Amino acid sequence: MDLYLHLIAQGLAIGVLTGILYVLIALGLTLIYGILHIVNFAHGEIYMLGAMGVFYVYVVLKWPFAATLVVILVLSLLLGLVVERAFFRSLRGQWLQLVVASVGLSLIIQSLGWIAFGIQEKNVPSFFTGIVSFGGVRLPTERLIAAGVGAVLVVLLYLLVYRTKVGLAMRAIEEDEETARMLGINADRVAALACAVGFALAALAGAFVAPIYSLNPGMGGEAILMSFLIIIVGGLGSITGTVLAGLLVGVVQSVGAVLLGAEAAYGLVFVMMIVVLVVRPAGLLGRA
Amino acid sequence: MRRPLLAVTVLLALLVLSAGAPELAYAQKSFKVGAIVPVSGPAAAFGLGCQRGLELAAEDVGVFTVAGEKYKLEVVTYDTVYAPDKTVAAINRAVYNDNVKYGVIIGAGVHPPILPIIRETGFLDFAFAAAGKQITNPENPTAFRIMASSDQLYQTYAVAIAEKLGGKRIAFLGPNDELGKNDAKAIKAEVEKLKAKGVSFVGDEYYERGARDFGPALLRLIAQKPDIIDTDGSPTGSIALIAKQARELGYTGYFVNSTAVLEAKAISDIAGKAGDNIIALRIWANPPTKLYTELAERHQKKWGEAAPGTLWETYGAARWLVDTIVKAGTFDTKKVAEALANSSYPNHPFGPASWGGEKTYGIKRQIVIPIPAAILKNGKWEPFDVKSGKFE
Repeated sequence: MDLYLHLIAQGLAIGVLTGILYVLIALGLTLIYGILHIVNFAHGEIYMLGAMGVFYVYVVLKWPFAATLVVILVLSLLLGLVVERAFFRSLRGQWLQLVVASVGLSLIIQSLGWIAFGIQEKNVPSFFTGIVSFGGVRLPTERLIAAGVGAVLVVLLYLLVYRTKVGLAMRAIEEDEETARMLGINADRVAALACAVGFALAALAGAFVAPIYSLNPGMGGEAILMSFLIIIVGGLGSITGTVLAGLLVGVVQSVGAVLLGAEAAYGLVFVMMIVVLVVRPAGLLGRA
Repeated sequence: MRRPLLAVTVLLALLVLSAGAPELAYAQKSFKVGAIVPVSGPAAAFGLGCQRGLELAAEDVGVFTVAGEKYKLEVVTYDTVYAPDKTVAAINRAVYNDNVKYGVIIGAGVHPPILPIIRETGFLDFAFAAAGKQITNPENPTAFRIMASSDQLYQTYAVAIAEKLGGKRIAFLGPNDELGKNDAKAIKAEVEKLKAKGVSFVGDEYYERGARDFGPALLRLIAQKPDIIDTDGSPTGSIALIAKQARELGYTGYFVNSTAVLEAKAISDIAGKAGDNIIALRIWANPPTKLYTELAERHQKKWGEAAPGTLWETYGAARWLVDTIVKAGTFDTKKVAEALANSSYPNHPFGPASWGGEKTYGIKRQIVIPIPAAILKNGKWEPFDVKSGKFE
């Protein structure tokens, strides 16, 4: 294969895999915004806690990985319920107060993280090592697996929101909370569930991304910027939009870097965001 | 009967305490040194290392006398989050609110906006920053760089490393900030010196600090078939991911890391065998002094983890500063700066230290200390025997 074409093909492959990782991280954020209309700035820190959870339970305590996932899932669901009850419920509908509350929560968790987890980078050994090669395009197995998990979580979330009674209730609240309450839907309970599932998605994303990246308590802050970008480009609250935007951002960043250099590609992603928002102010699949 | 007795006892205790308290409070004054460093955010590890270095120095300095008065070193921390605007706010608070005149400030990127404040107030800045002339020049006589500068590292080692490895094609991947841009220029200038020997600079790429995906940038560089990729001051987490992702893309050459201080275990944990053949400057494969070993052990005992790389130079600088102030008999920063520039210090954790850089920067404000080189093999640093050039 011509070197240039090979580079683009490799860039495209890296972009798709990276894009799926972005989607994985942004899914919980889009769910919480979609149902509760809360811009959860603490999402990155929950992602960090999920990753750290894998480090401490799987690496330090040497529990089996499946048990580790169960622990992370249960704890993150509980944390979501607690945060919804303690912070989000009383502030629902007050956009600015919610932003301040979630920023505060994010700072508290991150600061406690530096104290509790220390300053040295941590690492989770790869569950799957090796490279898969397709026509000279090299793909790390661990990323392929994480991408697969990401795809499964997208499908599960889609089924939850669009194919279950709970999902129907979630969408009803999103549409018009007052009417939903009049129809007998326990909005508080459904909102708490949405928040818990959003937290669990963030923590699971952290758990599956942990072997790919190195971990420190600041990693959530880095992830949140890209997650926001993706849910804005995709259309706030749209699961399909998040998937599309995640892939688009990953590919633009990666192929852009091959063609123009990494520095220019970083800017290119933001140019793309501006263009999308000018053409479709509500995002790719968002509702105006 | 019991109650009056209790009351008398409490009264007596209060009297004793109130009589003793002023004596204790005025036994020594506080000499405040600012740790104007990131202690939160992605660069917190650097800042906490400096803060801890100062705290260990404060413990070791104890009480010292200046012009007949007793003082104790007090560390005051100002979180900069490694952001220029927050650093400006931090130094303003330190100087104008808390009357702090000395401090360690981290980051080449945060220095440009604070240099006018340093010049105006005479704040004595121990700059824990790479890069070069932007900080160290005759206009900033109270700014002392306490770590090796980029110019120093590249001038002394770039050519020597390329020659030792037989590398002909050299690429650069660094952060897209002041440091990365400056260091790319520095390495290009050094590679130029080897042009006649067939060595060439084949490409430079930059990443956003905190990035975790380097694949796209690496792809472009690896296509140029480099033998050596210089990763500038990429910190431990970044270079480990760079090495891991570069090997995944088929790169088999060497990495050189100039200005960061890397942790072997962390790199090895993250990158595994992919971390082999990272050559790092400022890393001691074997402890250079007894003090170095002692500090490492104390840090491990006190904070329960390996000492971060920014600890040593901060500790050394703080001890050197107090020594100089005691000898100079004043806290006047301009007088202390003069005395400091003309002094040397044999007890630095890295070995004998002095100030140099007059030829390169026009002023002696660059620390000159032994600079080691090490190569990572099987998760451990091994001495990398390369003869360094001279820095003036």
